[in-house]
Amino acid sequence: MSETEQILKLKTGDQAAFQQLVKDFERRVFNTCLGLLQNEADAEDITQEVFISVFQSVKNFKGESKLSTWLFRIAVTKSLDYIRMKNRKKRFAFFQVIFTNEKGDSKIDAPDFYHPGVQLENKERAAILFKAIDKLPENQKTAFILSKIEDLSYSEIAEVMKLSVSSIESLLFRAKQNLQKLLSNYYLKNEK
Amino acid sequence: MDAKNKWIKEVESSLDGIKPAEVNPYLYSKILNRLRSGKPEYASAKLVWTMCVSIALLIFLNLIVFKSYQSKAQNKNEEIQQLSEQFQLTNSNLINYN
Repeated sequence: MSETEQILKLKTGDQAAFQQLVKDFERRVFNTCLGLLQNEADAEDITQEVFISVFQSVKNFKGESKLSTWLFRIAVTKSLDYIRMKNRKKRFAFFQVIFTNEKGDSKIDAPDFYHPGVQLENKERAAILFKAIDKLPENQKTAFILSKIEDLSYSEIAEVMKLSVSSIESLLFRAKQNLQKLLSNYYLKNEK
Repeated sequence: MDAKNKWIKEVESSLDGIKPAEVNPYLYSKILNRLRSGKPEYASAKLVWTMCVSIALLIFLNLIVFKSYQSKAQNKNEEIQQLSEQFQLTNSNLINYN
C-alpha cells in the first residue's frame, strides 16, 4: 500500500489501515518520546496519545509533508507539552517542603534514566548524558534527540521542526557545546 | 588529552550503537481501548488560567464595590449624627410624651 493510498484509507476511518500505520511507526514514535521524556511509562502513554490524535485528525491532513514527518511532529509536540505540564506542577508544589530532608534538598529528584537500547558497558555514562540532555533548551534537546536517537538527517529534522537546515545545524552545534559545559561541570563535581 | 576531556568524549559516545527500545506488544489494543472509551479531554492550561484570572478579577471588583458601599454607608451615618447634634435631636432633648 502506498502512502497516498494509506492516507485515503485512514481518512475513511479504515481500521486495517490504522493498524498498519501503528505497526509501521510505533517503534519510531515511542523511541522519540522516550528520548525526550526519559521515562518508559510516560513515553508509552504519549505514544498512545500520538496515534489517537492521528486517528482523530487525519481528515485534516493535507499531505503537504510525509506521514512520518507529521507523526514525528505530533510526537515532539505532545512530548514537550507533557514536559511543560510536569514542570508547571513542580512549580506549584507548595507542599514540597514537607518532603525535604534536613539539608533542605528535595527528595523528589528524577531517577537516572537507563535507556533500554544502550549497550551494557555504556549504561552509566549514557545515564549521565541523558541527565545533561534533559537540561538543554527545548529546541536543542529536540534536535539532538532526533539526530542522535532517531538518526534523522538535518533536512528531515528541519521538516519536523519547521526550521531551516542552517537553523538545525546551529541548534545541534549549540547543543553539543552546552552538553560539553554540563558534562565538564558534572565531572568537576562528581568524578574528580 | 587530559582525564576530564577523555571522560567527556566517553560520555558523548555512550549513545553510539544505541538500539531502539522495544514497544509494548499490546500498544495497539491499548490505543483501541482508549479510542473506544473516549478518555476525557483536559482543559488547556491557558483556559484554566484565563478562568482563574477572571474569577479573581470578579472577586476583586466586588470587594471594591462592597468597600465603597460600606464607606458610603459610614459617611451617611456620620452625616445623620452631625445633623442630629446640630438640631439637638439627642435622646435627652426629645420631649417625652409618655
